[in-house]
Amino acid sequence: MHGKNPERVPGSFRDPGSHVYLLEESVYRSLTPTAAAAFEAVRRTGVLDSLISERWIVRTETVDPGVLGEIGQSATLVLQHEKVPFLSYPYEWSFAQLRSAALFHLDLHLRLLEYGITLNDSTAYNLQFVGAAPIFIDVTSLRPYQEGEYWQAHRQFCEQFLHPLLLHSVLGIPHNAWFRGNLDGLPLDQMAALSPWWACLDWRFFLHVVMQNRLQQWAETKRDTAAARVRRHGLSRTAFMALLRQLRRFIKKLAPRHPKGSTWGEYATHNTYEAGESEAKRKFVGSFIQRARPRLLLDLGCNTGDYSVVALQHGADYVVGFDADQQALNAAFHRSHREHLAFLPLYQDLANPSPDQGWKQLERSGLGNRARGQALLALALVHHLAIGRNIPLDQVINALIGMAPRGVIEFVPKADPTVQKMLALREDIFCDYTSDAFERLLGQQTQIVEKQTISASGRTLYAYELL
Amino acid sequence: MQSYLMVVQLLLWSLAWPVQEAYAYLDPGTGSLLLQSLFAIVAIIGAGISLFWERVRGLFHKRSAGDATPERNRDAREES
Repeated sequence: MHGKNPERVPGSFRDPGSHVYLLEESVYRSLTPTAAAAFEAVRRTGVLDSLISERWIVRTETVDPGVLGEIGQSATLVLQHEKVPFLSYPYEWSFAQLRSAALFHLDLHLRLLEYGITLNDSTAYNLQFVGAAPIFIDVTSLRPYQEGEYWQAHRQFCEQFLHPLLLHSVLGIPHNAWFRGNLDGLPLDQMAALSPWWACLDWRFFLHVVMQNRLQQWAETKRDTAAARVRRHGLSRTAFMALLRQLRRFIKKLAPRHPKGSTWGEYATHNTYEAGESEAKRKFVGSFIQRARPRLLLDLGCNTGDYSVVALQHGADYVVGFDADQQALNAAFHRSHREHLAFLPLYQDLANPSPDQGWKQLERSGLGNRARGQALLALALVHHLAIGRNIPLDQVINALIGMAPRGVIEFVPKADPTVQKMLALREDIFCDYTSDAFERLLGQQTQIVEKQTISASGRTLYAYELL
Repeated sequence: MQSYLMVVQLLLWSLAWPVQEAYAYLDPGTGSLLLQSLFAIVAIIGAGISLFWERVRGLFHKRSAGDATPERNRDAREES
């Protein structure tokens, strides 16, 4: 018997058939009789075990309900799941990640249908990433397929996957802020209202956006007729699978439409470093990681992941990178995928990080509750917050050291060409932004265990440990 | 061929479908279900046309290929 009480995950309330609990670093799920019967029916087909062994679905096993104490006594079945290294949300994914998740979702559904199983929903929150590999986390979304049934979650799939991808692909607007503003994705009527006429020349865009919206509008005025039409017809399994395959082909070809010249996409090759500076930085980071050996490293301002890779090569177990540049993030994701790295790059504006939000402001956890690493890297970041976003230097330092007990922070002084560019067309109101002030403020709360100046302009790396 | 037929049918069907100003929230999924019912019908029509086209092609193919194709194989191809 465990000493602690299980803690119900606040976001687990939409499906009345199951609830998720955390207990001592393990994830448990209690199932009602109906959900348990569906789970057993799915398990009997053998597809669940196959998908778990192939890492399409998180490891799941039935356990003694007593593990959840009183909660377990009222449950028909209790499952234990593996815990993913870092929980992320679709509004934190790059275009490449969202597309990868969408394709994975369709592939999973196609595989399930071959076994006579379907998915209850199409929520993007049921997918997580381990490195660059998507994985499905909600086994209670699986249930036996009934011949002739419609894809109940088609609209949800469109709003949570297809429309956000089209927003970026057709209009050049990244989905992140829109998705964060509406946790259910980009609504059908809004996507239709945004659609340019030329996008409708693609019949698949026309079908899933324009036509679906017109039908929805018509249905809202002709309730009985619409319901009768829906009941009269059905969708054969062949047509169901054809619909999934057709969406897959459509999404596979979508590409992000970027404005010319991403800020940081080419940072790794077009920055203001000399080669020697870059090498010195790599050595400093490598040496720090060898000492710290973090299980979870946060790389703030990860760009395309150069130093995340250095960290992985020197002993970090898992790296979560954050950046606000779409092209850099897409490149980082492709790199992680290509090289099978334990590296998860995520979209994050660190001056406006993901908040606690959703129902009771508990449904989706803010970055502050999740981003707790054993160590962090904040390379070439401080000046973007302190000068680029006018955040006082002491607050920048407090925020950074609050995310990990040890780390490496780079200070870029005003003499550096990068900061010179930032100040070129604005008044310098940052009289406190000096190397001395930075070192004094960092030293007040941490022990500076190593310091190295790596450029002629005075760029300096500090390795700190909390006092 | 199938794609173009599908586009033409969808366009005609969509233009013919009366759209009035919505006055009440009904069910956010009804449009999706109607779309799928249409998709199912178009898929059946498309499959029928495809089958018909294959048979027409098969007739010409049979004439051009003469008796070179054994009867047993031709039947098997038509069934697949």
